[in-house]
Amino acid sequence: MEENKMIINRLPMTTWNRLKVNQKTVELTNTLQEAPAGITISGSFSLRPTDTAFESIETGMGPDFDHFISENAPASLMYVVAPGTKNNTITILIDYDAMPELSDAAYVNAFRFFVSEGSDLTVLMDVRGTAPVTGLTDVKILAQANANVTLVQTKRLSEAVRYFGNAGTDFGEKSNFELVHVTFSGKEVNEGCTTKLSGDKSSARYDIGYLSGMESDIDQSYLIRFTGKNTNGEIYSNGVLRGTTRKNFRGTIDFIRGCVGASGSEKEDVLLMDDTVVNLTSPLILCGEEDVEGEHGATLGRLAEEILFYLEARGVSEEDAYKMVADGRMASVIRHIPESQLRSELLSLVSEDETIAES
Amino acid sequence: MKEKTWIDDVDRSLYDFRYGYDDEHYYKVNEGLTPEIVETISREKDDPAWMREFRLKCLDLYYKHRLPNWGPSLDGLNMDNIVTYVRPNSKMTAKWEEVPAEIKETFEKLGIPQAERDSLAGVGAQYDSELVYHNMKAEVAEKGVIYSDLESAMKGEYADMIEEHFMKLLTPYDHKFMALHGAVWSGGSFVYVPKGVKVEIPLQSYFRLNAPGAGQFEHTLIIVDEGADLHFIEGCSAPKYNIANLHAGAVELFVAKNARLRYSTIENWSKNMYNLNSKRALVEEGGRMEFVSGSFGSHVSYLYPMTILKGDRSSLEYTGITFAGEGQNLDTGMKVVHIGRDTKSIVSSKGISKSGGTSTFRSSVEIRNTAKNAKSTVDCASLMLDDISRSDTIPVMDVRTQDADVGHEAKIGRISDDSIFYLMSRGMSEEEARAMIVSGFADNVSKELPLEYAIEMNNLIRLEMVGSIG
Repeated sequence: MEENKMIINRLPMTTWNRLKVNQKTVELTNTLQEAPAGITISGSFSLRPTDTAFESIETGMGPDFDHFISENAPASLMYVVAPGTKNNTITILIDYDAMPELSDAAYVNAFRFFVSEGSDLTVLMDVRGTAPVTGLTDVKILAQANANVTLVQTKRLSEAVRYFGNAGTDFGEKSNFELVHVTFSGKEVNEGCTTKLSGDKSSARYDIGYLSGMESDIDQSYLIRFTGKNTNGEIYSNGVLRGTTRKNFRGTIDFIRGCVGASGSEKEDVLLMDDTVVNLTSPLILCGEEDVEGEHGATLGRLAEEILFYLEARGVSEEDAYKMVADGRMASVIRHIPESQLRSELLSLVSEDETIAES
Repeated sequence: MKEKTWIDDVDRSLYDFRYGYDDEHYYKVNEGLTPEIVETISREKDDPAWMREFRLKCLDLYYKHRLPNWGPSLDGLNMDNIVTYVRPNSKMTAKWEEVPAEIKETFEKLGIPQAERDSLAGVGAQYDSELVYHNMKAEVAEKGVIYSDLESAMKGEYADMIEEHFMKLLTPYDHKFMALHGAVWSGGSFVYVPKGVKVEIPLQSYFRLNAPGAGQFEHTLIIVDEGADLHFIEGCSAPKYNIANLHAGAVELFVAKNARLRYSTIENWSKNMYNLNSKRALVEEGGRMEFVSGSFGSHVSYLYPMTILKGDRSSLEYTGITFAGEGQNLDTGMKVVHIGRDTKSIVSSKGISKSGGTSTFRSSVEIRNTAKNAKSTVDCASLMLDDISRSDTIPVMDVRTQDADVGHEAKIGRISDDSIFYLMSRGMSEEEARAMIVSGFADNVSKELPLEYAIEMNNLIRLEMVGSIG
């Protein structure tokens, strides 16, 4: 890693360089500043020194970013969820507009969660900001057998905010992980999540939704790695791109030899609202095991003619039809958020956004 | 305890025969790659001046290009050990009886003269670096179709046309092995189909590499003029040696307005071959390009036919299958660039991996902003036949217009026990059931080939089963 420069979101198996999808090189020259976050906890938690086991968890953005965080903003404490406990929720509000004004600063928040056997955890992380800042979040989760974890990360950002959202998780036997990523706008949004399904019969599901700004740069890397037997993983991504936005989606399901009986799927649907967007999609299936089932699908482009015809036949204009479908795609992801107030706020944000139709 | 079912490798005994080569019957340059070797090849081939300069420029570019930092390892390929030019001491002829006996016997074993008599409009047969036989039926020649070796055509009536097109679509700037090709190319075919001419039965070029440690760098240039139609078949094979051989051919295809070209390949190089072949087609308005590709041989393959849909309403259909067995890492796929309006691409790919082989499907679909109303669908399926093999799918889609429909589907899995059970309940043995499923899996390619070639392909996928359901 060159000084200040990092490679993030690297494809686990690279391809032709000229396509510019293999990785992203970013520069972070800012001074890191831990961001004050509003944290609300309900349930059975304790805070302990971070276990070294977290160091080996692979993350979506990759080793350069991990190194950067460990050098500059190491998470010294971890939240431990007590064994066998239910209804444990932690709500994290990160509002960059409420931060002290610092020139040349990047705000960082790093969290570690250890979810003990048979317990559950819901993390609701709501990131907001309109000021021209750089924000970084880094989440790692280690879940033991029979744990259930939901990680919701919502981003309501103006087109002035540069954001890096990194996550890495490892799940034990019969545990279950649900990831919900909802992103509105942002100047530059870099996100990644890698999940390792270590335990037999563990499962993971990603629901990703994004509504770009008019000039956003969105770079994503989502990966589920299957090592346990009879594991199941699904990645669903729904996006709406506008203006001159450039989006690069990398989704990978990776079957490691020995993950007998595993099944995985990924699906990406992207609605292109303007003729000036750039949409890059790289959905990989990597397979080193015979006894698995893997599939992926992608539909990219305009609204399907039959849908448009159906709606226009019922008196809906083309403009309204596009807004209706864009709303529906975001709503389909937002509905996976378990907390009703946050869910309502985001659904309202979608339905009230008239710029969707105007784009 | 249940016994695992084993499926044998592709049977290559049909292709794995060899004849020695000696200084009396063959001429070859020294191993390695130097300006002197390139100049020697140029002299041997009596190149026009522009070609000699072009070769040396390509050599410079070869030194400047880096090896790919993606794809299978090329560590076993050492250019210092590769002989880039080997030719039999015989002249190209249009009569099989004039071909040296050993070489003729080789092509007889491969069934080429028989196929020519039965089902082809013309044949070119290359042995190592040079064509030894080239012929076309008189009735096809009478329509004005040109099918000859590239070297002769370069000095004849079509010299200007070749200079205008040669390595303009695939350039030495593209990658290291295209630069290598430009420096040491030898052999290959030139085809020109005049306006409105439809060649009813296929032409075929067959490339046989016999010399151990040699490279084959043939160049195929096909121009199908406005409204014309052609099916061209390319076959290739080699005996197996315990040292690396290299194939870095180039295929440039120009499909004019409303023309159609089908390019079919059955590739069965031996398992010591590095197959780094490049193919590219440029399709004008209303033109149609069809690739049918079967990849069975080679130790390592990098093979991704590329189609540029430049003209409005131009289209591509790609149908391919790859079978990777023991010791093979076959990285295959396709690339398409949509530039014209109302362009269309349909891609169907199958991959089979077994006995520790690695099969990778790699693709790119680029929809440029000018390609309004473009449509593209990619469908790839992979079959894993055991738990020591690999199968990877690496597709990329780059869409730069709102006004496009792009779809992609991929599946990976094994032969399901349910399917086996269904067929066995109707009286088949397990071995028959498995063979039928694998044959059916490859059916998308075999049904696109002329009957004789479909039979050859099915021979290649002749699988033997023992044991019970694993």
